[in-house]
Amino acid sequence: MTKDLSTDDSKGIFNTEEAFLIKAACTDPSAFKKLFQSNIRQIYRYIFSKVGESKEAEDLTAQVFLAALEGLPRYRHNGYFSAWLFSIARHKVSDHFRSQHPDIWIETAFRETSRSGDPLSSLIQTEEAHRMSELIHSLDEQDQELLRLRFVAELNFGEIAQLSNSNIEKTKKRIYRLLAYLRQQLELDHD
Amino acid sequence: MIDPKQLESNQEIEYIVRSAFQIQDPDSSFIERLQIELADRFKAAGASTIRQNIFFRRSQWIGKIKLLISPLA
Repeated sequence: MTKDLSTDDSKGIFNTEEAFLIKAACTDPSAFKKLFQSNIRQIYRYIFSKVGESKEAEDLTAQVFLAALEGLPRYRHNGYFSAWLFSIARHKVSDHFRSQHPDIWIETAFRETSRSGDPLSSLIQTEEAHRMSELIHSLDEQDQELLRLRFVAELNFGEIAQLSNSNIEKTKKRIYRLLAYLRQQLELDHD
Repeated sequence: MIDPKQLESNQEIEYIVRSAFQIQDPDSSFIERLQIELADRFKAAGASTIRQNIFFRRSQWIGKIKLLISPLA
């Protein structure tokens, strides 16, 4: 299930409920549990898309939350708690690759593509996803990361901007430009 | 005003982008295990903070007594 990314950008604005929860989470395990539950899926999805293996993804996800638990008293809330968690996740993933192997791109994503029961449309969708995978892989790492943060981790533009040391407008434009480029490339293939 | 055709086309390309990535959700048993692990760590961290506070308060208290009795010595 994916969340509707077109309507979630108000989340970047300072959320007092979240701020209260973060403050409480330093001493109250149930507050920390709520933060954990609202972020676990996104963190895991992001890490899995980078490492491509569920055991490694679980191990790294656990490391992220243990580091967050430890670092929470030092965290200063600026309205982007998820971005803070993702910055920990990014560090954990890059440490993992430094000690293991370079970035891998496993092309097994196509199980998800069959929306209809029609085998022909399902085959077309799989081929499109496969071609898209190649196109995304041909982008530079920063652009791939932007797409991953938006469409795998489902972060809003504010959170992505925070993680990329950019502003919301620039981030939004860059992602839309990337989508336009990808669409154009797919259309060229069809012609 | 957003052009409905443009919106539809954006949604379509976003869907294809999502399909091109590996998307997998965490296993529920993993979430439960990690939740327990975090709760244990939380308790352990809380206990060590309490121990540290007791130790800190005790040393403060001893320091104060030392200060009080030093002129008498």
